Amino acid sequence: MSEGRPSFFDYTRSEIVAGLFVILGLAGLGYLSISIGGLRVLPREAYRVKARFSNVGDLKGRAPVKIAGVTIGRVESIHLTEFVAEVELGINQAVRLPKDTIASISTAGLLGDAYVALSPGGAEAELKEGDRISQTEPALNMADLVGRAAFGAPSSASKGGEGEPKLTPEQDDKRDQKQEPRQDPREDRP
Amino acid sequence: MNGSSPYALPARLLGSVGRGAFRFVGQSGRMTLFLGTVGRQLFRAPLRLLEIVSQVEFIGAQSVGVVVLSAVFTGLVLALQGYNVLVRFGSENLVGSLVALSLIRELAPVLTALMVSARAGAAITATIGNMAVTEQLDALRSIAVDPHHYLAMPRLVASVIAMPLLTALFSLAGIAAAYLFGVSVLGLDALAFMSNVRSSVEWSDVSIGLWKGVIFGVLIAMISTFRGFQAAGGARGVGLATSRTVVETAVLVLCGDYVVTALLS
Repeated sequence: MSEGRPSFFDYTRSEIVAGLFVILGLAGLGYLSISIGGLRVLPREAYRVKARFSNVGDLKGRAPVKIAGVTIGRVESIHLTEFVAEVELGINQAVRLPKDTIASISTAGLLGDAYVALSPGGAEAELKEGDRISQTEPALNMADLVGRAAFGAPSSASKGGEGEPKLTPEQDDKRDQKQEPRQDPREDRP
Repeated sequence: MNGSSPYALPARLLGSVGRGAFRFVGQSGRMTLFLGTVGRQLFRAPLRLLEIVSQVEFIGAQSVGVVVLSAVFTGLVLALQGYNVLVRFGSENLVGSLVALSLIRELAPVLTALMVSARAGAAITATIGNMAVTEQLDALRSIAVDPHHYLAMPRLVASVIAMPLLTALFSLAGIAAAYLFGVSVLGLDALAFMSNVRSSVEWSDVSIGLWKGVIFGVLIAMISTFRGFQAAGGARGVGLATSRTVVETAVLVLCGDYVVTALLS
């Protein structure tokens, strides 16, 4: 290989160009990894709380945890414990959650990705590292909802109540309306 | 085909299939052993840092132009095609995610490898092949310089250094081109584009792309130096070796891309 004209003090042109290329490439790589890829160089300040759900639906690891639509953490792991799904949530250290926080699984938009929505309660005591959120609401099953809206009858799979009385479509509509606020009991709080 | 036996033609055909199979197996084995030999040179005395630096310049720095150019147009066509489909569902802001994910995971490593093999790999084969047919490799051996150590090893190291960096530049240039095009021509929202890119791309996507870059770097260096060492038969032999390098690298990169994707995800 030709060494190139000696210039720039002791370095050959090809050394300078190779150095520039490597620095430029590493800078690009760093930007791609940290800014776009979200690689954590420093461990983010987070504490972990657990929540058990009877059904997590489409929830995946690293899904966002949100309060009022603002992301405050990520799902760290999902695994099965005693036939319910135990989800570990990594919560931003700056956000302190009251003990009676309710965790529910929602979807972004109609068919979007699942995330964990938290609605904080009013208790004084706060959740600490390793605590468990006791009140949870499982993922809504889209197919069941559509089925109920279309046919006016709850599908047996989602309700699971064998002894549930048969409802007429009218009663069922009322029941659905009553049930709606129960989805998020604190929706109308100031 | 002298017609002496009715089985002459089938036997010849069968024979050529068998020879082809043996040649394929033999060449694969020889190439693998060659990679092993070159890999062992890494642990031998002179590091040949100057040669590595000059190869990083040749394989990496001199490929930046062609890599960025192809990245820009890849990003543009992805944005345009993605927009045409996504706008029907009213989710044209997802163009950013589409472009970023397809570039980072698949297109950047593969297209960078194809460009680098066509630009640098072919040149490496031609250089070493020319030395091989003019018996310069034997001359090196006669002065106790192992050409595996002097010629192949620095190119392997340089290619492994340069490929991931070029892959990252390809991704960035493609995303930047799609961003500028999307915001200025398609009328996409600049903030929505970038926030979609950021939220959809995970570190695992970036790392898969980088691993592919490293693996393709090994493939490019292995094939191009091996074909150079194997070149025989004068100028025509060098030409054949060069075209084999480009074809074999392209095929192995595309097959390897599938294998790496299947293994790592």
